[in-house]
Amino acid sequence: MNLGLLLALSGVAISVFVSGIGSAKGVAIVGKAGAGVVAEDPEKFSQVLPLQALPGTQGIYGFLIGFIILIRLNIFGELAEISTSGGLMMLIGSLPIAIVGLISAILQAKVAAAGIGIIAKKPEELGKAITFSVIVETYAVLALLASFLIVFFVPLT
Amino acid sequence: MPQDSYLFAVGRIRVKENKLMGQDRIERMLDTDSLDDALKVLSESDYGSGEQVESPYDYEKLLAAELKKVYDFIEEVTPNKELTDLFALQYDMHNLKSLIKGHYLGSQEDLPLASIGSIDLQDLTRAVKAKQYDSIPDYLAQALVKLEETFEKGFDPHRLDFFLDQLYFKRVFEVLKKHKNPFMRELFVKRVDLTNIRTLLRVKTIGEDIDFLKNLLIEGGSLDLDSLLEVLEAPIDDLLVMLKESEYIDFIEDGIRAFDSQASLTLYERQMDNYLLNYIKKRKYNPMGMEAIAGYLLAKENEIKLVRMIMVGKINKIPKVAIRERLRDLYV
Repeated sequence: MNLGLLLALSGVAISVFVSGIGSAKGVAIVGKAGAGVVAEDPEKFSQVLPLQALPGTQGIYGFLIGFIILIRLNIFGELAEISTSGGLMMLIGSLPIAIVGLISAILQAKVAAAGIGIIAKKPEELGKAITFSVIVETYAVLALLASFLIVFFVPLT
Repeated sequence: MPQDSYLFAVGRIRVKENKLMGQDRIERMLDTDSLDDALKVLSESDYGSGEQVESPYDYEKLLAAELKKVYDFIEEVTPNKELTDLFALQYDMHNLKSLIKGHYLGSQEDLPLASIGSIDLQDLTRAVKAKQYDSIPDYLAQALVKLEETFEKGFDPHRLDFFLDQLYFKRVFEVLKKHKNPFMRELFVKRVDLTNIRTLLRVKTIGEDIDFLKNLLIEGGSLDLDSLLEVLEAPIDDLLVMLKESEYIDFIEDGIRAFDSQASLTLYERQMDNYLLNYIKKRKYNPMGMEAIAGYLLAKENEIKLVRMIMVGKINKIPKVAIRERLRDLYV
């Protein structure tokens, strides 16, 4: 095993677990707020659920970046050759989605938890609650894009 | 079960807020022509815990049950019992006042006790009657011992009231110091300020002097106590000038002027409540803080006050216009 491979695999780990932590925290935050509403009014479950799912996307993005790195390393066959600098670039490429994913998932969850307050009062306004929360998503998507461009196009060697 | 975060509590409160009576239901209750109809509006709003009220004159039972329900609910969902207990502590103090008065004045029955509080009522009773302080908090035990020494020479109910009011706020600020909750701190600072102004106005009415007022003012507020003492014997305009720089003036000026012209604190007290409700109203959308909990509690207490006012008014056949005049803004 060379250093390049080690760095690239670290990139996989970081993008998956850091953004995953963000999403796990995020869905937990919205879940608690949602559980409060559903405890009082079980019929609101179907409106609460989409809001809870929103901060879950960052974890998926992180996994996607990790997966692309693994594919480029040809993890299912004979491992590809990768130089130290190539591995370092993979590691760097994992950072945008890892960091922005972590932070945006938690912030998005707070917006969604506030949105739960809208649902509690006016369930028909679910769309507006989702819109507020989705705007936070933009920056996770941009980070995903940056990460994707790096890990997909940089040369391995 | 106490929760580990505000989120769950706030979620539940958001739904409960829908069940607050709201302007239209209060209006409808006000517009009813019979007591039974007024009571019906209450039962539509799920008042009480399902007990049957035989006559509309028993409405107090219903209101007490409703308030108890609210406090039980808060205790169930609060992630910070010490902070929410600060609200319940008012009722402990109220109960203590009743118990101690009963103890010294010898009346045994029908003490006006609230079934709400952060301390078990039996423990409080035991502390006052049998002087067993082991099951009440230390600060309270010490205060009770001190009270007892004070009253060895003779019992003074006013002194008791002031003592416990001051003890209440002292305890509040002690707890708040520990918790660093700017919202709650601010809320109680405002409460102290507005209470001090009310005390000042009251003392003005009964014509007592500065030394008398000095003992009544509560520390911990943002207003300078010395300035408050200074304006006691001056015309009311001096008080208004003094408050000019404070954030309260726009809200309470009318109340103070009304006090000056009619010697009635009604308007002032209404504006005081409105001010505090308004303070919370602006902040209640925080999904992860005490704001919604405090807001719901105060809104509910306010609602119960309104309902009581309507019922008392109706029982005494006071015209609707006059009752409406006394109703406070609603918090929804």
